[in-house]
Amino acid sequence: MKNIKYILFLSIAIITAGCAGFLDEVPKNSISPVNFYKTGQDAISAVNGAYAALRVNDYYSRYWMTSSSLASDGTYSRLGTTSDRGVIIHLSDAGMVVSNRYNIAIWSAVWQAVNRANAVLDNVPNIEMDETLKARILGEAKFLRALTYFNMVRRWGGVPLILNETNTSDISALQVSRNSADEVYSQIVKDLTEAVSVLPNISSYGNEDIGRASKEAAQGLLAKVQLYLKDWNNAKTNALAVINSPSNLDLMPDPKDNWWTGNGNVDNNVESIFEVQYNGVSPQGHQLGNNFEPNASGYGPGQWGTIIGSLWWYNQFEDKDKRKEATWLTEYPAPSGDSLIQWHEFRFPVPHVNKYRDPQNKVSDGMAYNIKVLRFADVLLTAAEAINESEGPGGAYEYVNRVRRRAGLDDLASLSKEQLRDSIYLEFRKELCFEGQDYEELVRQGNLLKNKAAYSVYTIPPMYDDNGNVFTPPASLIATIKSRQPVLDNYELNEWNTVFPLPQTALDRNPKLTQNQGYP
Amino acid sequence: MGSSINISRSINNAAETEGEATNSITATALQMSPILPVFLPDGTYSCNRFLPAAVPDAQGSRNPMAFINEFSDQSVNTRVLTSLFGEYDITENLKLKVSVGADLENRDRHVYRTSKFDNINPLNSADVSSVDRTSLLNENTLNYNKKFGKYGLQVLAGYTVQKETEEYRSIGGRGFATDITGPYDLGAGSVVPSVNSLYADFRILSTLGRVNYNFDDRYLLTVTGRRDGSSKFAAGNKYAFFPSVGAAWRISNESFLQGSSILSNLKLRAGWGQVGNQELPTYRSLALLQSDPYNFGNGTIVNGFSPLRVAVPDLTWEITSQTNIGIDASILQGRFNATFDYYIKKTKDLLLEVSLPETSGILDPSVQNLGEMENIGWELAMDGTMIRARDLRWKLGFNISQNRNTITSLGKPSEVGSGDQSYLIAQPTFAGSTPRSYVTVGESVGVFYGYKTDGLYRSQAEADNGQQLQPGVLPGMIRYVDVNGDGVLNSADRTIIGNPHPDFIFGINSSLDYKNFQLRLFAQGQEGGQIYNSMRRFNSTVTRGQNVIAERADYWTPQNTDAVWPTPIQTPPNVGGTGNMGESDFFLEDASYLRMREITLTYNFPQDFLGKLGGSIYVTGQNLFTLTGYSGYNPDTNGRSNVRGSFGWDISTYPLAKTTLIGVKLDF
Repeated sequence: MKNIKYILFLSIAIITAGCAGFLDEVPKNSISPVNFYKTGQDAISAVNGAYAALRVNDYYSRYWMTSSSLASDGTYSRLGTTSDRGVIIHLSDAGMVVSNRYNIAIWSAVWQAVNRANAVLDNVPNIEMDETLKARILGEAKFLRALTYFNMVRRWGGVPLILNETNTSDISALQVSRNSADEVYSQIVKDLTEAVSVLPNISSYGNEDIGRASKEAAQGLLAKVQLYLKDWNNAKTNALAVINSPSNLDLMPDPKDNWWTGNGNVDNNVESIFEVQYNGVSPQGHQLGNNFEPNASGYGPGQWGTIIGSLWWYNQFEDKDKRKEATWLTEYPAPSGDSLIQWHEFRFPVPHVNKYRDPQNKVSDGMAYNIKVLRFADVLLTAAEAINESEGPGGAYEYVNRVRRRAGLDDLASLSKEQLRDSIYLEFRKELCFEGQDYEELVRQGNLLKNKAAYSVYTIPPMYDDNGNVFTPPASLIATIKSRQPVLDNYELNEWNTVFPLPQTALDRNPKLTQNQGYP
Repeated sequence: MGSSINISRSINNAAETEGEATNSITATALQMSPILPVFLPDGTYSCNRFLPAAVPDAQGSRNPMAFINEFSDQSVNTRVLTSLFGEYDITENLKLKVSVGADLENRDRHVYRTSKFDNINPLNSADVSSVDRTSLLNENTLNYNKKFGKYGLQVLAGYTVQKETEEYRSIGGRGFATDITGPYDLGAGSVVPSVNSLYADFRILSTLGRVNYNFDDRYLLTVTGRRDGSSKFAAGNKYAFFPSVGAAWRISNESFLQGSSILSNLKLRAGWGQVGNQELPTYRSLALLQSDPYNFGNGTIVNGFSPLRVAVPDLTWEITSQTNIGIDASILQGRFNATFDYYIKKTKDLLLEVSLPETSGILDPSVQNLGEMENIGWELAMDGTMIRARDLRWKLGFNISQNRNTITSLGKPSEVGSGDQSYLIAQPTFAGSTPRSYVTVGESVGVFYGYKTDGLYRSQAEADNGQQLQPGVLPGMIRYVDVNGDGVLNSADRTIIGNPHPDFIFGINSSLDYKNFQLRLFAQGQEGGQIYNSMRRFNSTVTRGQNVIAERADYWTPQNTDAVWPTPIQTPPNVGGTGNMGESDFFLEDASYLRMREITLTYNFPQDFLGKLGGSIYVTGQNLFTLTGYSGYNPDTNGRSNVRGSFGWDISTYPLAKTTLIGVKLDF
């Protein structure tokens, strides 16, 4: 009898306790916007999250980079076009590409990046904090938003211009229409111009902040945007401002120093302007290199070898061009360590991509080298092109030749404006090859349709054995190599292929989006 | 007063048996090229990528034997169920009952992959995780029970409180110097370990009441009402009231039927009631941030926080209102019995997990109350003793039921009007490789959505005529249907291509006794409904050097024009190439089946055979055979049962085990 009283008492206690706020949800393992965006540290964390949006697999870690090179003349997928792991960015097959997994994944990742930048821009202004730091953070967010919109507008044309954080789950309110490419470009220029005015120079960032968006990054990207807009005078002004910036940017001595030289200075070096930062610790590591490691080679953690080089593009590099070695993997040490495997001995006997290799790394998601978004060589070429277009060749040589000299090539001289333009175009392609703008540059230069056709004409480059002696290939090897070249029939392109289609899933989720012309 | 405690501990060794592509024993066993040995000369496991280079896209680094030998997954589950309750008779007819129960569960899981597991990368890895789940329940009821002559009255009022918390932590280590320590030396890995943790909790408060009224065992009435509150819903929308009323008339107890020699029981039932559903993950009504660290400069990791989800401020209960009528009848003192029920269930504020438009930048699916659904169906069960002789007795039972599910509305009332709203169920499917589970008005939830096929282009002439619709199509390729008839094959031609829900499900059981022998049978099945054979899709893909199913050899060639399968030629025309084959009805199959769930033959020992002991000896066969046209292992499977609204997916399902048991039973 005594016990029952206790139970009754306990029960009543529970009932009483239950009344006030018993059903309120207070998540313990994540924070809510209600108690965030209060301090300067919150502002920093918010903008850090916006940087982290660049780092994901579906954006710079893999899909943005590989899709750009696969849609160009530089590489192709060794996998069957219909295998769903191997669906390449196969622009001529419009039906395929609307359901392309890379295209779908990138379309989500870029919008996540935009929303995160918007979250900073909407919430940080209301925080009471150091005003200089606040201005810098807002500048960083504007840079990040502009970078992603620039990527989007080049890839899909006009996209919805969303400038505020998403704060509703009402699906019909989220179904927005596309803006024009011009409107998107205007916003990019506006964001970058504002970012230039508030961001500090690279050299004024302390060690712990290297890698944040800087004045040079915003100015360099703006110059590049202005190349796309053919706004030559402003492109020139901005590019020269970067070249002459107090941060003393320069080229690294050798092209390969930016990739895998092993001198410990690959990341955030004197040539770097903006890089997506990785440190090799999952998820702070990237996966890009796996795609390019020769298949089943014992060389590197992934060895997928899914993306292999086109001989046509490989042949465009002169032998003395130091970028040939920096760009192309033509041999690697055998797992036993006592010999080198030459490209014609690879499982897929064509040169592979050499940038992004990280053979010392053990885990496929732990590649530590940063991914370069903008580097000094890019800005030099931007300056050269802008000057050539606005004033003619005279003042432009200095900048393009600086890039060529580093590559071990002779200076350009005495060219017509048109000849220099073509030369600069080619320098852009070779210097920035496989750096996430192959397709974009081809389209800008008006060469997408021309170069894809050039695939049909290629020669098989000379082959050497481990001792450097000439190797005479048997007919069967030549046949294998030829069978590894892309089928030209699959690469018939049309004018509308200068942008990608919107993925079908995007159209399914939002009927207000219209498909790009030409695509079903 | 009373209390109980129940402690259990179980150890479970699991194997990866389900999963598409290269992620399970089943899938890899089917896809492993038959021309490869299990082991390479150096003792490592072979895999498809070691095929001769003539297979250009040979792919796959897993070997099914490696899954068995080099992979372990052990879970140890410890569970303590306790309850303490007290009853107090306040008056003769009024009872108070209070109970407090706790369900405490801990699950430790150790997953380990040795350095031989993956043939590309000899990196061994371990994932160790632990889940603690605590569920506390307090129930307090007052029960009043009284008979007044022919009337009986029962009244119950109560109040219950439930709280459940779940905490999860995991550590992943990789790159151990040796496999000897397995998952027990996580700090020794050469790769920085990954650490993860989760926490979730929810609470439910209920007030409830029930009145049972009984007049002379002829008229029965039950009225209930309960008000439930769940923490999972949005502020202001946490509570809902669920009433119900049920009445029954036992006609057989009426005086005009009393003493009927045939009818032994006849009862009419009718009822109406509402129930609520709160099965959704926690915190889904709230806007949340996610942690996403980054690193600058020297590689130092810095905190980052970003939007994960936006608030769903009107998230509330999914409520189903059910109206049903039924009849129970027995004749000849219960020798033959039948029960029939008919119901109409209307569900509103359906809880669906949907993906927001990508432009929102919110990638996490959103759980929302979207739309209304109707289920109309009936159930019939009959059983009878067919033979009732001295040595021979045969009982036969049969049940059949039908349910029709229809989405009657989608979208919140303010938005409906556009009329053609529909949603793709959020699911881990790569577009273009399978149809989608789809929700649209007028159809059942989770119908399949994709392209319709119409055989193959069987000749050059047919292919020539098909160029307009499928530019570049070659003879031997799949012919797709231009559903909207606009002369162009594109994504607008996707349509509802199948329904995963059966027309009927049924069961049969029979029990035959002859002297000391007993033969029992239990069979079960369904008629209608479709299943997407994703395994068949994967195992008929002529790429990657993988094995394909034997029937794939019956593909179109100029000599074999009536083939079932398309040509393996890979050149894809626009929409409708082999690439879209997966997204079509090509791999949808009829899921009708009849399965012999159990056959048992028992021999009961005669009395005195074993002295005072009684006993029997029996042979049981389970799942001995399944009659079905389905080409996969099991037509009764759903590999995506964890996704709301996804039905009928066969994703490399592990085959159902056939079991034969012989047993002896002794009664002391």
